[in-house]
Amino acid sequence: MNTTIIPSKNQGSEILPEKKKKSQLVSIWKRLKKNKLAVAGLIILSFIGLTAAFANVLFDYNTVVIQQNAAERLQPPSAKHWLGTDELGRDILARIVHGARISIPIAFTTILIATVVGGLIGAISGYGSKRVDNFIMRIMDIFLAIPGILLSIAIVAALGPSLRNLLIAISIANIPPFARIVRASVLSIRNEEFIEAARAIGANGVRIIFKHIIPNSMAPVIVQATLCIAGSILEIAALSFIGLGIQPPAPEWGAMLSGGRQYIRYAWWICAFPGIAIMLTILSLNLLGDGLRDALDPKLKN
Amino acid sequence: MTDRKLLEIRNLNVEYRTDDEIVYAVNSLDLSLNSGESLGLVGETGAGKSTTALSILQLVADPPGKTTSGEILFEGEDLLKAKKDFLRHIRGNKISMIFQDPMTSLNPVYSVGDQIAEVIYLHEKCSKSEAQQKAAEMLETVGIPKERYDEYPHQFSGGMKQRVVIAMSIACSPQLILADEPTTALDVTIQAQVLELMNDLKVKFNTSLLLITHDLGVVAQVCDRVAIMYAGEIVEIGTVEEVFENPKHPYTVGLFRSIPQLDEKVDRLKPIKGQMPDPTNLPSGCKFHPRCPHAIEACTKIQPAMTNVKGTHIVKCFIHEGKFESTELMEEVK
Amino acid sequence: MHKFILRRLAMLIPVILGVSFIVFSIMDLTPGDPVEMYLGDNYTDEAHASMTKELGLDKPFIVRYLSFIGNAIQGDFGISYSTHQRVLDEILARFPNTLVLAIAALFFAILAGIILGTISAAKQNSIFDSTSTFAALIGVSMPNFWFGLMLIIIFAAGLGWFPSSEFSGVKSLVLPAIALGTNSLAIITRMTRSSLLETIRQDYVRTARAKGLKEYKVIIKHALRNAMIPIITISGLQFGFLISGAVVIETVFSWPGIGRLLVEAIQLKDTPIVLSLVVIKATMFTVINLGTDIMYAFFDPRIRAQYKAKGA
Repeated sequence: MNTTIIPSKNQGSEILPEKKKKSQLVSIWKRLKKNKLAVAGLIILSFIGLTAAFANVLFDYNTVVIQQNAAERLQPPSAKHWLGTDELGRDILARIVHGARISIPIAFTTILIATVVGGLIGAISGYGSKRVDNFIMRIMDIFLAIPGILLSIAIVAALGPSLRNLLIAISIANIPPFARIVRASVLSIRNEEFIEAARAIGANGVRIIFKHIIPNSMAPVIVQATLCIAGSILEIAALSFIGLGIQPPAPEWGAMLSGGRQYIRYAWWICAFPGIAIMLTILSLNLLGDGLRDALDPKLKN
Repeated sequence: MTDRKLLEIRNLNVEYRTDDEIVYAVNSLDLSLNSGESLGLVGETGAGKSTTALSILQLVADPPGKTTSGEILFEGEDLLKAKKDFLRHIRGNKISMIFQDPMTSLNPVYSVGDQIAEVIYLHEKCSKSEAQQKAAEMLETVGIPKERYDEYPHQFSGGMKQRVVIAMSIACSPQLILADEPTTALDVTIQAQVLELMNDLKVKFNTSLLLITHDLGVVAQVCDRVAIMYAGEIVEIGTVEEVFENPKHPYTVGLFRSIPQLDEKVDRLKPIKGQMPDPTNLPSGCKFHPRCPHAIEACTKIQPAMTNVKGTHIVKCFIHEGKFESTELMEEVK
Repeated sequence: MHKFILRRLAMLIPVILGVSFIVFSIMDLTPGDPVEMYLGDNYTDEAHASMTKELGLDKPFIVRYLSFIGNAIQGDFGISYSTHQRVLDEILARFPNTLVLAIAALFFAILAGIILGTISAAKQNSIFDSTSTFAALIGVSMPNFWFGLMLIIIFAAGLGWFPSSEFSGVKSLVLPAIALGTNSLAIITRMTRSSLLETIRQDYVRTARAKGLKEYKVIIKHALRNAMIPIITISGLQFGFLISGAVVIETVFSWPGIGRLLVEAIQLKDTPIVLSLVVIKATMFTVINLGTDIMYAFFDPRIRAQYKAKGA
């Protein structure tokens, strides 16, 4: 668009950003590919995701993961049981692989909820009147004053340990950072020309939020979401470890650590490997998150 | 003024290496400075003046900076080969440096007095309180009341900060001060005060001075000799009278033409056409040839040598090597 | 300066009220009858009715909340359902242990973090740098309770150097402090490195070198001192987390602090203790963050001057 013409509704405002977005994605991908650590994170994560997806092909849930086998209690790592067996004779590798099917979907769900709810709150706060903004942000400050794990513990302790309550607890604890990020993005772009232009052609507030503001605050939200999923996996494990999360016999990683605790003097592998699974998942998410941040905002790097 | 050579730089080459390219900042530079003498190093931004000064004290950031060859003799000792301890003994004590931007060259978390006292305590075998006392005297010397000893840099104006930096640089009575555009960041009136101060101190302490600037007026005011630098090389060097009254290199001629003269009526200024060459990809032959109005084919291929034209006046241009004559230029130069 | 601190302290009040309101509301949702919890299995209807009255449970929600706040300000956090002791006494009995553990962990994290981060930045891109950067990445990705278990396996069960769960003397502090402090250590290392890399490039660091100072003095006295503000911020935040978030690690090491008290109270459904602990921990977290804010002033005269200007 070399010539200055008033863009007709469909050409100027819809097609152009689409094109721009595509080339942006390509250049972000190119920058991400250059970052070896981020690529390593992506590969580890894909590997974990794939084994989780095909967990049932690898190990049968009922016979291997849940069924107790007294004859094979506390076996050290061997050719038959690569990572050994636990106090009830179950194969640890099988339980870890199936454990990914618990932690990862829950973590994604909690952060999806937190992103949507937090994002909406932030958009309303940034786009709304000063009074609305102040009110919402003060409430967010209060939530931020409670460490996430403590808030989750309080919520689960009150509602009782269950999958649903775990989801609610971790989602709520993760809302404030998303509200803050989206609000900041909204404030920084709400006065830019294309928003004014949209307003001038009669777009209403909701349309502006969905069409312009949310796509424009995507980058920091994606980075935060990646890092928060890592945090969420840690919280799920911690809550399960103290008996407030996923309950046995489900093969949740934190619950496995908790179950194996009494046996660490004789069977180190019960505790060692589930923890390594948690660490690898979180490490790869952190690597990917850091890489995404650098790729999305090259200015910030160094 | 004695003829003893205090500083002698021979064939200095400095590069900045990044992943993608090499910036050739200083190329085969020769320079010498006598005791008590002040030399102006003049050139455009990016000519390699600051790099030259920084490499004397081995302060070029490494990476990416690398001194690839050359000698820097200070009182006969090669600073490039010197041990770290010896270099530290030189820094701030025998050679000190005044940096370009007074706003950023003072540490924001220490009082100005303590920052001066630090260098005194380091090099003069004295107690901390003696160092503090001497630092207070130095503040007075540069025209700052010693009551302000305990104030922090953010409480000072730009000109006052530069006075503090100067006080720091003269605190140990060095033999040589390297002043890297000491007045560029300052207001014009403050500039004059700072220059006057430097002049006074130079005379008082009989210090040699290497003054880096892009301002020929400053050179005329402060210096005995002047060296013109272009693309990492010295293209012309001589006493201020020699160079100012009789500039020989086409670049120097261009520089003088591009500044307004108060006593002459000129219709319009004539800036030098073109821009500094890309330092990652320097032209072959004479580095000035793409911009030189008198360039001949030889200039694009062969490097001219430093040629003594008269007295101490040395120029790096074929015109003065007698290889060819450009009557046009000869006329202009006259 | 004092006025500034007072003003910031005053701003804490709505935050703490908000926190306690949220936590109180959550706890009010707890299923089950608190009176039953308190009385145990055998009680008469009259006893139930009088206890309901005594605990004020017949009153509407908002009245109960306000009386909780009113009592809490006077140091009365109610009576534990399980031990029938005053909640405050229970908490105070355990708090010193948590404080000792958090301070030890923070001390370890700050000391080692600043040293590692500083060497990393001073020798950027060296083998030391890449090793410590990678170790820090592992450190932030590691669940601390798992690391605690690994320390027990290696140093307590295996080598027998330290006790794993007895609570006795300095020796029993070592493993829990390392386990608790390692995440913070990794975070402080990363922050020190990146912050120092920034200040090392500043002009005043070059000035310091030009004075002839030894390189380690240039780094520590001139660069590190200026890099301290983000390091202090992150350390302060970490202390908040260590003292209020050290719930799980105390369970791993059977450390008799308020974190373990919280877990025990949750298992016993001892609502008054849970409620008070969460409110007290959140309050400490907020107050520590404020303390961090004020600490800046000691390291940066520019901020000190701002505080003075505001306070005057």
